[in-house]
Amino acid sequence: MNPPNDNYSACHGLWREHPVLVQLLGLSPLLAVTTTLANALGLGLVTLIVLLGSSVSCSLLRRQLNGALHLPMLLLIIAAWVTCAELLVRAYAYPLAQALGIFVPLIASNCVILNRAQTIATRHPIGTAALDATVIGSGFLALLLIVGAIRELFGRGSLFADMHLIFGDIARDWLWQPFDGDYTLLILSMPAGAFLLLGFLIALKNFLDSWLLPSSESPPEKPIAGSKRVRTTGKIN
Amino acid sequence: MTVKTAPNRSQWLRLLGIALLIGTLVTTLEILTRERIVASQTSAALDYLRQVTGPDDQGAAITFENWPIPNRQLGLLGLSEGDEMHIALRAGQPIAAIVPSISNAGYGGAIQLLVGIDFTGRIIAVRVISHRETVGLGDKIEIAKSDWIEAFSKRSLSDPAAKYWAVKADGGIYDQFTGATITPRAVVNQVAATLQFFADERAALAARGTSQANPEARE
Ligand SMILES: Cc1cc2nc3c(=O)[nH]c(=O)nc-3n(C[C@H](O)[C@H](O)[C@H](O)COP(=O)(O)O)c2cc1C
Repeated sequence: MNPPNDNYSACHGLWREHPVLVQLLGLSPLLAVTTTLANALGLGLVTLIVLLGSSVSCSLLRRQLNGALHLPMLLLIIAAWVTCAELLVRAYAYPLAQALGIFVPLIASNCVILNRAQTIATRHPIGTAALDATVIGSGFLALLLIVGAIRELFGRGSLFADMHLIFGDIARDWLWQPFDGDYTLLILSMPAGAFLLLGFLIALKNFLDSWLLPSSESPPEKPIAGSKRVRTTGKIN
Repeated sequence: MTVKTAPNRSQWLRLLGIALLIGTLVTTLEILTRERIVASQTSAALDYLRQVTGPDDQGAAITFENWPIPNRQLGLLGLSEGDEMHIALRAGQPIAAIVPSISNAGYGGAIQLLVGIDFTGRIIAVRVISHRETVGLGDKIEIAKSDWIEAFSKRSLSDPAAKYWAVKADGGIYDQFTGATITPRAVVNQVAATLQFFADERAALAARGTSQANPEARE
């Protein structure tokens, strides 16, 4: 049995241990679906719900989820939530399901979810697990929205395109096109541009960190038990 | 951590238990949502069908039926066995064929089209159902991005003549996009192939429509 980790603090997930900006997890959905704000919002919300569902179930079942087979069990639970989410999106928001395509089922392979299940949900009571999932999911959603907004605005010269996929017909005239005519900046529409943009956002975050938290005052690093990540942009353990 | 030891029997049983529990839950949800998903798919498909059959201007309701596509034509249309076309009927008479057609000559892979053709062999409309062309370059084939695809309306196999059924770069009449010729070329060629298919099959389809509408007429 893994002992609860008392060092845990949920709000770190929004900044200091942001799943993407610091841990570089979940990059593929970030790069692939953020061509518009609407897609980013859709995928971010579905991911948040899947993360919440899987964290709560992993926490509820945490006494069973250990031993040599804990990984397949976690994957089963996550895949189940993803399948449920996909069925519901297809049933109640079919056009959104079409727009997001393969990226809804691929949420199952988003490492952020497995990472939270392994490091937090299976080691903490349900309240903590739910809080953690909400915070991490919101941090992920927020970053998707930022990247989606920048890519849509400067890549395609529009904002709020396709919002009717999520909000229904009233959203059809939310579309805002500040630049004239055929403005497009191809690189931002492509995954490579998203990758560059993400790099700039990470640099910005690191700059803000060094500016807001002079190194002498930076809080002591708290290790995350069980974390084996080596590819990070900051010190998480 | 216990991770390093080999799984024992109780762990396998737990995995099995979780798999059964999850299997039951997911199956239940699948059964509960199945009807709604099919309904959503059908209504999305009907939306497309209405777009390619044009406005329903003559009062009588248009209904749609699925008719088989002869196997020898599947290659031309890029389809696989079992794929069907839709026939729009007014008062039981076929008025248009809505033919799914897939080009594999796109820049990013398959481009799935729906081509609406009336029974005189003229195109009503063409729509792109799905594609993986580059955003900002090849995606102007979508009606949501550009009205390029409307250039096919009212065209037929003889208008323009066969050698002009091509993008301008190939000596035809259809515009390509700046810096993107592959995508429009794929669409134009596939639409032409679809018209060829309809020309080959038109007589058979019309005959089937007549015998279906008044089975006694043959006696
Ligand atoms: C990243 C990238 C994506 C492209 N995407 C498309 C595309 O989706 N459709 C297309 O027709 N051409 C695309 N092209 C351009 C083709 O490679 C090719 O150059 C072009 O279709 C030829 O058109 P042209 O004869 O007008 O130069 C792309 C090129 C690059 C570098």
